[in-house]
Parts: sequence; C-alpha cells; structure tokens
Amino acid sequence: MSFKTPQALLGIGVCLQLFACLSGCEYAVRDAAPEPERQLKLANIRSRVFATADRDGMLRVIAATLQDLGFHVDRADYALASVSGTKLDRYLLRLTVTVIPRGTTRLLVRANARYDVTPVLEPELYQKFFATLSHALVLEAQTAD
Amino acid sequence: MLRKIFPLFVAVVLSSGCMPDQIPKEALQLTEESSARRKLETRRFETKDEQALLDAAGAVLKDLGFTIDATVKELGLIAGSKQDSPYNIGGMATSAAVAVISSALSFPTSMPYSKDQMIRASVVTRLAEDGNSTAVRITFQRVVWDTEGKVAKSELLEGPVEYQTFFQKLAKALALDAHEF
Repeated sequence: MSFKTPQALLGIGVCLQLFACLSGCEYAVRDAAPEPERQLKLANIRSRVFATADRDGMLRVIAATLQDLGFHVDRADYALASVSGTKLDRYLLRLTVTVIPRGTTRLLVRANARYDVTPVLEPELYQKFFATLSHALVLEAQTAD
Repeated sequence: MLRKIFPLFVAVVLSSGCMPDQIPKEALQLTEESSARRKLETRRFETKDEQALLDAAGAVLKDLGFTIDATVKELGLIAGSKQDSPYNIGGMATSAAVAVISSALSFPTSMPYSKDQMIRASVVTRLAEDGNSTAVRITFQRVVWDTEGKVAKSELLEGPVEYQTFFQKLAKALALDAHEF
C-alpha cells in the first residue's frame, strides 16, 4: 500500500476542519430537571419544617449558623427570605438557605449546597447543617423564654 | 538523577493547591475551632440601635478600603470587598529559583507565584442575648490568584489583626466599648 503524504495530510486537514466545525455546533437544550420521584426525594433531603412563624428571626439564626460553620455570609435577600454564604478552605462550598412559610405557625427551611459547581446531593451533609441549625434554634428559644 | 526528579518536584508543588475531590466530612458541622472563631470574629456593643451600628460598620469598611457590595439592613448584613496585591516575596524568590535551576538543567520551567488577591468582608449584626446590646460579627475571606490567573489560595482569614483593627475603628466611630463576646 502506497502512502501519498500530500493526500494523507489533506485528508487529516479536512477531518480536523470537520471536527472543528462540529465542536462549534449548538447543543439542544435538554431538560435537566430530575424525575418527579427523585425531585421529591431531593426536596426531602434539603428541607426541614420548624415550628415557628418568626421568619426574620429564622433568617438571622440561619446567618449566624452559617457563620458558626465557617461560611462567609455574602448575600441575602429579605423579600425572597434567603441567605447565602461561601466557605473557602482549599475548596469552594456555597450554601443558599431559603425560608418559606408553611401555614401560619410553621416555616419550611430549604438548603441548597454546591461544591464548586456541582450540586451537593449527599443527605449526610444536609443532616449536619439542619442539626446545627436546630441546635441554634433551641438555644434561641431558651434565651427568648 | 536531579534532571529526573526536578519535573516531579515542580508538578507536586503546582498541584499542592488543588481542590479535594470529595467534600470534607466536617464541612457542615461545628468543630473545636468554631467557638474560638466566634470569639475572634464577634464583639458586643451596648446599644440596641442596629441601624447606627450598620451605618458605622459600613463607614469603617470604606475607611479600610472596601467597596460595599451588598447591604440588607432588615437582616443586619453588610458585605464588601477590596482588591490588592499579596506581599509575596517568598513566592517570587521560589519562582525565580525554579526558573534559574530549570534553565541550568536544560528544561526551562516557570513556576507561578501569588500576584493578586481579593479580600471580602461580611458584617452581620444581631440583638445580643441580654436584649440590651448588639452583637457584631465580621468575617474576612480572601482569594489569591497566581501569575497564570489560577486560584492559588482561598481561605477565611485567621489572623487577629484584621479583626482587632475593624473592632477598634468601629468602637471609636460609635464612641462605645467593644466587649468580647
């Protein structure tokens, strides 16, 4: 088999050009939302209901809890009832916590964590956060009574 | 022998700042250091005027060279940031030494060193447990970029100087004493 260098180079060049063109193609927008069952499971992992209607007090305790856990509270939205913080310790962990009223006597607290750019799905991490938050709320209740 | 080991040494040094693959288990739980950190970062002022405290804290941050990025007075939060250059003579010297040694060994290598940094400050106020005073907690965080534009270091500042300076200036601005929390 004879190997003709100019033709071979031309073929490689055409292939590279084709790949380069293809790499610039637009991807179709894919619905990245998880299936309903998985979504419900995730929501359960990330949420807890607390028997208090004090939305502002809850937001302040969340900010204090984030600080206790070594987070830098850098963003909050009073209207949306959310507080966000970042933890930098050779890694980047971002946690956004939102408070949603549940009826007139309870609050749903939802936490969303991202490790660098990846959503955190491990239940244990959320359990640890809610355990610390619950502990802080108990202390709050004790001081208020 | 040295020629074989040197690239490995450079690779190890360059990769030493990499982010761990897994989230550390203690990332979302209190540690033994948590209470010491709270003490360092918090002072109590004998006033219930949270608004005045936030205004003074914002002014002190500006005095210290920060730009205010976010203010949420309803939740007692002020966040700011400033950019400057880290004092990194050691890094520059190591980088120069690596360049000289690698050139002498016939494979020129450049080793980046810390060049720019951003320091971020976050002040959170809340009514203290006694009901008559307000607790102010500040955290300082910094991100350092190297000469290649990569993040070389990201951390919560642990040195007491920045915290003490902030609280001294805040106490002076408010004409109140800053009590340890």
